[in-house]
Amino acid sequence: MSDLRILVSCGTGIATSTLAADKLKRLLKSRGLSVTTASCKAAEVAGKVSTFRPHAIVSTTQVAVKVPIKVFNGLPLISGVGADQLADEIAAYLKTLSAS
Amino acid sequence: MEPIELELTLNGVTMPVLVLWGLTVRSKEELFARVHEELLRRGQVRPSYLEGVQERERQYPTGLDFGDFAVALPHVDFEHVLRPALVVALLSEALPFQAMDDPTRQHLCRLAIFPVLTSGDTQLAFLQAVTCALQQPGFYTRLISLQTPQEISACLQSMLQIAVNEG
Repeated sequence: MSDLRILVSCGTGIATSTLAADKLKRLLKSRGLSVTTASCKAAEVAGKVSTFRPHAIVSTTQVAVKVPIKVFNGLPLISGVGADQLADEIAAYLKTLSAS
Repeated sequence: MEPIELELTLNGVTMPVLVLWGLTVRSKEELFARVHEELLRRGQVRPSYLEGVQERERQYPTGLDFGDFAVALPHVDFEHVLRPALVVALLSEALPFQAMDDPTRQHLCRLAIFPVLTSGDTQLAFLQAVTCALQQPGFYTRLISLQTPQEISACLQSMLQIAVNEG
């Protein structure tokens, strides 16, 4: 599937989400997936879901709202602890989407 | 130790760094007040910084677990900042910070790094350099064991090199 979109959120949608998105893009690229990311504040996730229509959400903070999209904890992308495992999970999830 | 001022340059952007080493503070509030005082005195932030950083930490806590240790990265919104800086504070005793991904959990942190930024883009590279260096085995242990301004300065300069090599 082309044009896979991932919404990356953090407190303000600027700092940690940008770092997480950079890292995620690199890790997914090495797994053969090219994705488009958008960053937003955790509080804006619901609104962004309807405009950006992400295939998955990666957040470094808790996402308080319920959204019909799978949310991954993005903290490993900042701390490095479990980053490869997270990238494997996200890649596997995205591949299930493109298979269906 | 007296506060140490140094500059780091990455990709042509220079960032002032304020190092507060071996701070004795009993609470986050006391830590934030000390950092605020030092930044305000140097004209880096507006008087609203203190409330800004406290409120931000309440709403979006920044305790980050790196596996063997945890580090706090207290953020603040751009509007409270006049000139960008990075504050590196080593506490003589660890303080509990709520976990970034789960406010019901706490991490004990001896190192707190404050990104005091006025915009995203180029300034974020410094935050990236910090988180990248902290992921390197041994870097944290080496950093917190340092005792002289010369050693600390050299270690922070080497941190940028790690980031460049990794990036």
